[in-house]
Amino acid sequence: MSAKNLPKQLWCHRELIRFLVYGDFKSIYKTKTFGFIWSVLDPLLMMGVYFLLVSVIFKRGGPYFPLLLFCALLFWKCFTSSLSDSVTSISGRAQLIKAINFPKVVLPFSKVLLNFLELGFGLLVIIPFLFLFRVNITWNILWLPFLLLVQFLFTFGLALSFSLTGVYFRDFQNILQYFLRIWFYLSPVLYSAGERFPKSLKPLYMLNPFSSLLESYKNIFVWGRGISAFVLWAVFVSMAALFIGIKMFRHYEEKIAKDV
Amino acid sequence: MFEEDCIIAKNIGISFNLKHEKRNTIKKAIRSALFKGAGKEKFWALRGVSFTIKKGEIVGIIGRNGSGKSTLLRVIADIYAPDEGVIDVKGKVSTLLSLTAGFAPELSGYDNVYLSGLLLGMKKEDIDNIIGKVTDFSELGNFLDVPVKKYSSGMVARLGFSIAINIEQDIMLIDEALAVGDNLFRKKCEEKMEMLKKEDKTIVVVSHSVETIKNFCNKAIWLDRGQVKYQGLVAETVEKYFSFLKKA
Repeated sequence: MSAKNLPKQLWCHRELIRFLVYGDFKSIYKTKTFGFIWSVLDPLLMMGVYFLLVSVIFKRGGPYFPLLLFCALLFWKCFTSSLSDSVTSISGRAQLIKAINFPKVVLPFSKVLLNFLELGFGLLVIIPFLFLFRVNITWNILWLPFLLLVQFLFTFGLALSFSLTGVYFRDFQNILQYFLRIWFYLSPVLYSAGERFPKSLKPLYMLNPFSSLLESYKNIFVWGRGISAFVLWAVFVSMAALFIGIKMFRHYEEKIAKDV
Repeated sequence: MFEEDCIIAKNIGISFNLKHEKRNTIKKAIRSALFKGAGKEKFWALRGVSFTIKKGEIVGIIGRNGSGKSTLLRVIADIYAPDEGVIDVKGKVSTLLSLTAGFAPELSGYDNVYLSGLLLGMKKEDIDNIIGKVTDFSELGNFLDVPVKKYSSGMVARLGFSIAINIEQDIMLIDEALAVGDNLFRKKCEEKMEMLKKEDKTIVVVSHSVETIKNFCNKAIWLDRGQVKYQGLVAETVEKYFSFLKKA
């Protein structure tokens, strides 16, 4: 598998990917009373929790805080769930992999796709919120597909390497949780750029591709502004993640069946 | 009659790192990082295995537990890449190694036929063509619209086998799938297998039931501890295998 024929391989197996996503979707939501509404309820409840903490208890955040929070949480949740799902996407299908030869790349890909599908439902809910907060919607909202694409490539690139790491280093699943938690606090979900980020850690803030991504999402949805220039850095990091992910996958793909 | 070679295996070897058999822990990772080769042990599941299977042959693989039978099927199905030697497989392979592993429990039996077919590399249109045959064969009727998780284990196996046997690729690999369902269904399976035999399909069967192999196959390969002990016509291979078992 090379970088060039990966899109082709995915396209050839689009029907398979569709059925995998469909199967996962059903197993997540069909068993629950509220079904796929949970894909919206999750960020909403999370927003409630942080709203209580930041706005009510600490009396910070400003009038737009709930909206900014919901917006950021929606995209952040998509990212973290994609990654934790991808860690087990291959190691959890050992039986299948030992029974049939198929391109393993469809497994992490379909997990990421499923999470972006959920993100889609969440985005529908953001619309009434925008009206509720009387937000001035501008043409800048058209940046959304671009930002989503960057986030998708970044997520998929990491998911590729993470799915393999999950096979060869089982402890990774435990470690990832805490890693993502720290990443969450270092990203502008609960706060905005510039605000109370220690100067000594500023370079770390700039290096985090999610800093510019989340700032940009907030800009286009809430402030009616354009995207942050640092998104270019996020584009670069996405490409690097994708490149490493594909390289790793090409190296390990033949061995997975034996080692899983 | 000119018979073309269908599967040519030369000197196949498959090795496992026994280290990987257990879940990796940090302690082990550190230890193996510090001391090279610590905890690593190479285990050859197959070694020096050579054989040729011609188109239309029905070959049974016999041997005791852990002799490498299933591993060999996985090599033919291109699930494992050999660490030594080469294998050349001409034609499309359908694996019947527990096809039920691909089932999504929340999806209906009907959807799972599509899922399994797609996993085996079929096009959706091709599955459209065989879906009727599969569903008829399975005799699951209305249950095909029900999520597979509601099925009994017998029904799951029946659906898996119906898919596998109706997909009809050039080469079919069967692992212990012959003893599926009740007597009536088993009889139907045997009839279908006889039909495939006449259709000039190449079939490789792994089974603990030497009786099955004796009745169904015309050639046999006897594996012992990852090596070919004997191969040839089914009657003589089975006979040698039995006399070996008696001695052991």
